[in-house]
Amino acid sequence: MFIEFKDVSFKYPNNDKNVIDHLSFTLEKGSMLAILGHNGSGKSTIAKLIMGLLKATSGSIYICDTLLDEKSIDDLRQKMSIIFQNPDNQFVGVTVKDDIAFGLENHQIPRQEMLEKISKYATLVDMMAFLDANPENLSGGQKQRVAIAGALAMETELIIFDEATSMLDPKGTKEINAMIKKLKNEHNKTIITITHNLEEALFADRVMVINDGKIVLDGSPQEVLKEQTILEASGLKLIDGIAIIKEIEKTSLLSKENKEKICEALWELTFKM
Amino acid sequence: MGINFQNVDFKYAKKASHKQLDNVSLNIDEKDEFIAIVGHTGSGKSTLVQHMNALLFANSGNITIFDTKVVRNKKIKLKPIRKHVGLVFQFPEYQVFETTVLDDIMFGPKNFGKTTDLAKELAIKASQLVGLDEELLTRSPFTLSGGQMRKVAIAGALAIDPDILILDEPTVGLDPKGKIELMELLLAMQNKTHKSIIIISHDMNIVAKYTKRIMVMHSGKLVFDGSKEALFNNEALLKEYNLDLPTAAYLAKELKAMHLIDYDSLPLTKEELTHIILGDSCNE
Repeated sequence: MFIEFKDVSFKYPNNDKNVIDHLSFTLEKGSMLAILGHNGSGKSTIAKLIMGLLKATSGSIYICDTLLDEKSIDDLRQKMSIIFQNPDNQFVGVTVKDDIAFGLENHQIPRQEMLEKISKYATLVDMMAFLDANPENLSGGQKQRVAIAGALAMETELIIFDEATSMLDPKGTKEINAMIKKLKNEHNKTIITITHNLEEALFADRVMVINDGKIVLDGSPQEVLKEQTILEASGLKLIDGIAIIKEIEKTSLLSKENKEKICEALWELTFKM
Repeated sequence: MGINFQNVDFKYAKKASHKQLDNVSLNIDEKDEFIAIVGHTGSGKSTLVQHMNALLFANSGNITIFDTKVVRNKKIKLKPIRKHVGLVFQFPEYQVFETTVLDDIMFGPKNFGKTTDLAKELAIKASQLVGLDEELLTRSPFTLSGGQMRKVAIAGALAIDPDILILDEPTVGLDPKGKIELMELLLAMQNKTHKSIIIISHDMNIVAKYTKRIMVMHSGKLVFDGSKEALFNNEALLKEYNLDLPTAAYLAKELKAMHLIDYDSLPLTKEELTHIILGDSCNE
């Protein structure tokens, strides 16, 4: 198992309410998990707990079968990287190249090896042409791709995308989602995406829906999408195609055959989008 | 009245090779308009709206805002213009700064010379318009959620009681429920006050559901200005400027191609598409 949560709870000091409430789950190596929930559901707290940026109030977290605690945290962090929501807040370098190099320099990687890694991962995210550019002059999607290259350069097994597209325009969102698919399919990374968009959960292997710090749904995208009542109760908006299916299923206006045909078409179109 | 642009050009730097606004002409009514400005990042959308309340000044062409000709001239008072047209920036929650929510919303009217008592009255009215709980007014704005903070910022703009309200990407970063709540609130406010509303948005589902008129910006040019129906039925234009269809319109086109439904006018929202699917069978 790459990650294992055993009865994990978390609350902020001076607050009685558990933000994460007795959470248990496991994540296999090489798989992609989407954690879905509305703002304030606790989904980003899970990412921070995994990264060791917050400490569980009770319960235990295992990364690669090692208990995450003060002793192991530095070693375990080498296995994980995270891409945050706002690309502007994660830049440290004056050029794209410096920025990708930042993590490598911290680890005192020899210069030749560093340059090789920079060009390898800048190529992977399709940013080779921008190595000497100032990150400030890039589009949102390009900035996030540089952040991804920086994370990839560290060659961590797990990459967490914490609402990495929520500040991007549709073009940037498409770029990043295509990149996530590529990392999943061609590079065998373990991936967690944290999002409130059902659309972005459709290409995960597994979807976990969080509400009030608890797991309310856990299954394949197809299984989870069928649970419309729970999704709505969890503050998530149904994808239009699925919402229409729900309306059609209630009606007696259509013949059974017609109903099935249209619902099937809508279902397939939704996954094709 | 309202906002009028005639052949407006603008460059950030005199020597810049391309114009941020290139020969833009438009007319916006002071009442009941609900306009979406769409276009890719860098197309000039934010630059355009900053000309609408005299934060930026045209290099050439004419801008008239509520009978005042806007030029960079010390004799022209800008406050009356900004009283007519309120602008809420992107991520307005980063701009709250007072110690309580009420003080924050009162800042605008006080800045426009209202007495503390009147400013308070206007602030309370504005906070009711955006649906802020009264108990939140005494709290620090920094203890609020993202969605609540955004409502505070919008209430701040409304407290000035502008005739036209412009919001730069009001739904970005909110979750799907928060997005709908905010748009419903703007719609309800318009039904009540008839103020014109202009939003910059990339979200075609929101644009299709809530706005009436769409302006498309591309490389500083206003390349389309018309009804949302006219835009979403214009395949060539959508393709040329790489604009997405609303989800429901995309689904409708695919279902039609599969001969599962038929329609005369393209549905733009899921409600319209549902109606077509269910309505179709009634006629069979």
